[in-house]
Amino acid sequence: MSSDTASPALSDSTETAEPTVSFDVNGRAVAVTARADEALVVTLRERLGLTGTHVGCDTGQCGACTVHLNGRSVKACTLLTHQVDGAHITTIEGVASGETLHPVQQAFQDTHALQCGFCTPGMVMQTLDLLDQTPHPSEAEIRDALKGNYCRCTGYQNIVRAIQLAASGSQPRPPASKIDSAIGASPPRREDRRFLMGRGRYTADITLPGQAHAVFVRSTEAHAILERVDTRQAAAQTGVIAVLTGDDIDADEIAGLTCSWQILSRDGSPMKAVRRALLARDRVRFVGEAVAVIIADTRQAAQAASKLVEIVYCKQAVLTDPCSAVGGPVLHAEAPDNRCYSWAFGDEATIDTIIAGAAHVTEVFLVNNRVIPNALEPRAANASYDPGSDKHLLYTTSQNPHMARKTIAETLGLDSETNLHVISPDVGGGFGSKIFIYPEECVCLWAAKRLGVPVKWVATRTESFLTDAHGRDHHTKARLALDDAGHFLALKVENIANLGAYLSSFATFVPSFLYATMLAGPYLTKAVYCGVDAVFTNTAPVDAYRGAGRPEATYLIETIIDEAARQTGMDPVELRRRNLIPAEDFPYMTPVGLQYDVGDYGRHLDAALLKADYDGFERRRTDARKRDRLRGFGVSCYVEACGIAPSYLAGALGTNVGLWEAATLRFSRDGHLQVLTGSHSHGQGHETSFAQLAAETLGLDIHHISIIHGDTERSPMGVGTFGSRSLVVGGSAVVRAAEKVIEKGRHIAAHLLHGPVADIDFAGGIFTQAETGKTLSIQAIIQAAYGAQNLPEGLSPGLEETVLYDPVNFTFPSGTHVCEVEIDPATGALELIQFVAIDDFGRQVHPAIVEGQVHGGVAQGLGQALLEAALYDPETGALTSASFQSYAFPKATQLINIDTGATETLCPHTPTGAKGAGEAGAIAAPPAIMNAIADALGTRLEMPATQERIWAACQTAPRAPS
Amino acid sequence: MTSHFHRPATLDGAVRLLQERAPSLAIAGGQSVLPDLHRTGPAATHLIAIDQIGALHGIEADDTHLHLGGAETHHLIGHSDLVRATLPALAELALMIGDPQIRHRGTIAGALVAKPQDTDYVAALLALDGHIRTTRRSLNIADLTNVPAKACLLPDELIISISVRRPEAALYQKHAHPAAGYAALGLFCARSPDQTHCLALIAQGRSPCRVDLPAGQPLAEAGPDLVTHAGLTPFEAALLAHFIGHADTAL
Ligand SMILES: Cc1cc2nc3c(=O)[nH]c(=O)nc-3n(C[C@H](O)[C@H](O)[C@H](O)COP(=O)(O)OP(=O)(O)OC[C@H]3O[C@@H](n4cnc5c(N)ncnc54)[C@H](O)[C@@H]3O)c2cc1C
Ligand code: FES
Ligand code: FES
Repeated sequence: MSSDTASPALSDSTETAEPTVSFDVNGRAVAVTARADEALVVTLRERLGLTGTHVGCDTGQCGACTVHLNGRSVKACTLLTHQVDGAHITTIEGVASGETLHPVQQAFQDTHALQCGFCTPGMVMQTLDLLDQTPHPSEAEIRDALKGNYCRCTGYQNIVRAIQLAASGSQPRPPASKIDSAIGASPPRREDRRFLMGRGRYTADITLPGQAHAVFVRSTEAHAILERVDTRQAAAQTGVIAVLTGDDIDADEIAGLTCSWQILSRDGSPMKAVRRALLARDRVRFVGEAVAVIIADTRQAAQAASKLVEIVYCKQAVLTDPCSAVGGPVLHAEAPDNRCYSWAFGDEATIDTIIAGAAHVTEVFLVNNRVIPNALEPRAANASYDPGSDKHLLYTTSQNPHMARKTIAETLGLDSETNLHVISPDVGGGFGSKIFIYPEECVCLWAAKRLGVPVKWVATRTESFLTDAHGRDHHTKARLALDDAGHFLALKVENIANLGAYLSSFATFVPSFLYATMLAGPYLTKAVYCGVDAVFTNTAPVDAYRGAGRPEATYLIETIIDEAARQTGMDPVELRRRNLIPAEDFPYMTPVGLQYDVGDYGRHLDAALLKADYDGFERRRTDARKRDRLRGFGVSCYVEACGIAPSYLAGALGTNVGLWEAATLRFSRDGHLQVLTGSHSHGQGHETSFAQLAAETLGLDIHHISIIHGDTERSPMGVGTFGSRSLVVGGSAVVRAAEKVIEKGRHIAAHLLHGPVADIDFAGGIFTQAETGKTLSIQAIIQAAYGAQNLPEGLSPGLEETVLYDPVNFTFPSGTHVCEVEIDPATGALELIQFVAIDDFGRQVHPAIVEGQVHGGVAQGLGQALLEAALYDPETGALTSASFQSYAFPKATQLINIDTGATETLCPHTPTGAKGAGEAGAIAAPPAIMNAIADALGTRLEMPATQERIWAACQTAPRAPS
Repeated sequence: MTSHFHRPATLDGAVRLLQERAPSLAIAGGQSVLPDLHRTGPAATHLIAIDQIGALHGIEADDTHLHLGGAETHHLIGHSDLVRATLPALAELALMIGDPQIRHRGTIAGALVAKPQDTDYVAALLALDGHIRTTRRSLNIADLTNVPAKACLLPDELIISISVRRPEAALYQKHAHPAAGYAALGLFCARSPDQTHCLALIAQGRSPCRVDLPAGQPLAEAGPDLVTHAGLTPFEAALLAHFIGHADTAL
């Protein structure tokens, strides 16, 4: 029993609101005051500054807050601080010995078991507990022990591997004297240490002097006229600084947010570019829309006051089904039929003629289910204003701080974007959802200036579910025409895309150009037509989610091909093979406007089938049948366009924003290189891979290079991270800037060696005069450049170069993913037998990072296919899956290890030959598994293929032919 | 707004505080109280921590029954040598709850009060004639599951211990909700020394139910009654049939 009965906090007379609690944290005795209802995680983070313990949910599920209480793992969000009086607490900050990582931490680094790092402290703490109780766990035991620790980035695969490694007791990798950082090596990620030690710095970790806190009051109605918003009672509460509403925003003449991609409807009319007010005025259009904001001294005071804002709604009819949008209750007066646009690509009449004359036509109706990105770190903002310099500062969880600066400055009507300084510090995953500009960060900035206090907002998980931009939600009818030899003649697609209640930043672009231009896939399909009605509904806005448009296109293509194979009695693999674009046809111009530059699609198809032993599948299927199990094998081939985007193309497609990326390479006088990039890293490991690029190009030791990103004042130019563009656009900018450095270096070297510039070669960090063989190291050149005493005439001192790199084309990674499943028809239980992913990402700079991207992408794809569904109640418009308790976030026990592999064709236009790799998994995985399920059942299911749906199909479906 | 925390050293002290301070709430492991607090805000002014009160701890067995202190955690129940020796199915059940961190803190009494219809324990208690000793009386498990537990227990009433019959053999099977991890369906089957069987079923959102079978009757006979009592969907009925089939071979 408790050894602390003597402590005053234990006596029955504890009466004060904030009494003292004494305990021991990481071996250090602390005494803190804490509110009676304060969770330990709040005390650790806010009172003790131990921000390595994270908060990812409000239901005690995600495990990001895991710490040890007297040696056992517990969730610090479900523990009262007062309950730990007298106890020993260990947090992630107490795990390493000094600067030496604990073997478990080291194992995480050695196996690349972390990406954004947000889940990592909790994972490490839970692993320590597991290995303490079960020193040699099986894989199943490991996965079971991680049930309460969610990770959105890694698919858990390398985490399992890390734990196996740590359990094996094998010595961690000895610190190499020189790390192999060559392109194609996988040096340890340089960002890992801080994440593993709890030293990451995420937006929620940042507290400014005089910090005030914002809590938003959100609509509980999906569609209503706001009759009255009464803030008086809330405003009168102690600690409340202000309660602000849409009227206040209006008074400051802030117009609201809109979408930056202009789409023209088929009749030539511009899309209905409705604006989204920062705080709702007059009308609310989805549950969760912000109506008012409370700014208070503490988050608790703001929260309490938020309950006192009285909103009188006049309810309106609710529209959640995009297929009933036209003619349904009207959301925006500007769009009386609820259509933002009705857009088309291709020649419908020609396609109809081809279809009418085709030997075979396959038709499908598909729903690409709405999913919620759920980066583990909730969105957050901390805004302040300095009247002395008329400068706003925003810390935010943005994937693209430079775009945020531009858009927010325009929205708030600042004199110039340079009046706004945006910092995206460590960001815990994004997957698209943190690209966009949301009302909250704008409101925080606006309120900070208005009230003269720094304003911080951190979303709860419930807010993330309700207000982060959702993904997918396409409702599609498609027809594929084939000739009698199985060649694809034409594909006709009619798509209804749900945009939600308002236009998120990129929303209009996703179901149009990002979708239709991918509809040829990796195939020789001769003609494609795509019509899209993009509609408003009373649901959260929908925008790009990992893959954006391309997963929807791939799901459609790979489904309709399998259906065509089934209907024509062809082998689905053979049907694909017959239509794949042959390697010798590149560059290949698709009928949908893209020029694929390079690829060899047959090679990854072969490799995947070989790895998965496709030839042995029928035998396995027969064996399974003897055990009353249904086996299925599914294939999915994809090509995608990423590395977004050539600016001229982006311009032609409806935006006025250039989509280059910037890099500045700046040497210090002591020879250290700072690489400033506009690409933001929130799990992708740029601090390592970008350094590899600079190291290799300049022949430097990676230790002498640091990567600076996420800060608009330090790297003055940038676009950001989306569309798998970082390495291939941002990284290319680094290489090009390095080449400029070399060029200047050659001039200096030539001058110092008294010869012509043309005679100077550069390799491995050494400038060599060809004729004499005399050399100068890059360090000597740096000395000379900054010494500036002996430079060629007219050459300015210093060694710093900036490049804005604009790609000439997209990059076109491709691949084949295959999946094998086994189903128990009695219960509908599905077992993932194997998942093989063979991808062609061109040259891989850091293969371990690339593999991690595939793991995570496939995990999200499997999540969409099997588990995840954002569901709205059609009557009330309530999001019924608005928490981890109702929305099935994939857990370690629900996924398997996937088998990855690579084929390689080099991208001809990126300096390294690399292609984008971030989204492939999420693009390719859903059709692979859905095809496997369809193969097992002999009938096709909608996503997510839940156990109940599978079971129901088993009751009625014809069994797959034997 | 919650403003007071108390950690009474004794059960009497706890009951006294619950009586004298209003509104008050007992908190044991906090695994239900804290999430509620995060999502809906404080429900009481006085939080009374009972997790360390000695009288609420302890695991004991006699010839016929197993007794569990109300503040015993899922973890300790799952790993208790005594429970594993006398009623291994209950240990397994405890280890199927939530995740390791929740099991380290969450208590059996807390689960019964917070989730009287959905907690896995209810299946075991129902099949094994569970009795709940409180600071005021002895309750039958049905008392707790038939009306909301909060309504059943008086504001100052605490669960001291839970007792269950020791069966000859038992098995718990669970179909976890893919998101929440709770039992979407859970079946506890127990065979008594006289070879009769009890099958108790929990199904999310519905009242738990139990069917008894005389010695010699196949378990499958219980299926239709359980399906009807619990109002199972055809899918759930199929899962149940699967569970019963498995129990038939395992028991
Ligand atoms: C993510 C998650 C997953 C979960 N999964 C499962 C699962 O799979 N199966 C399952 O069965 N449960 C599950 N639970 C519920 C969990 O078992 C309970 O939250 C936990 O057991 C509650 O116990 P506690 O001691 O933490 O109670 P607390 O949260 O401290 O209290 C809960 C309630 O019980 C009351 N109470 C506590 N002790 C007593 C007592 N001795 N006498 C009277 N009243 C008391 C409190 O006043 C309060 O009303 C899950 C919970 C979470 C957060
Ligand atoms: S479980 Fe504690 S923050 Fe999610
Ligand atoms: S690394 Fe696990 S959530 Fe990002």
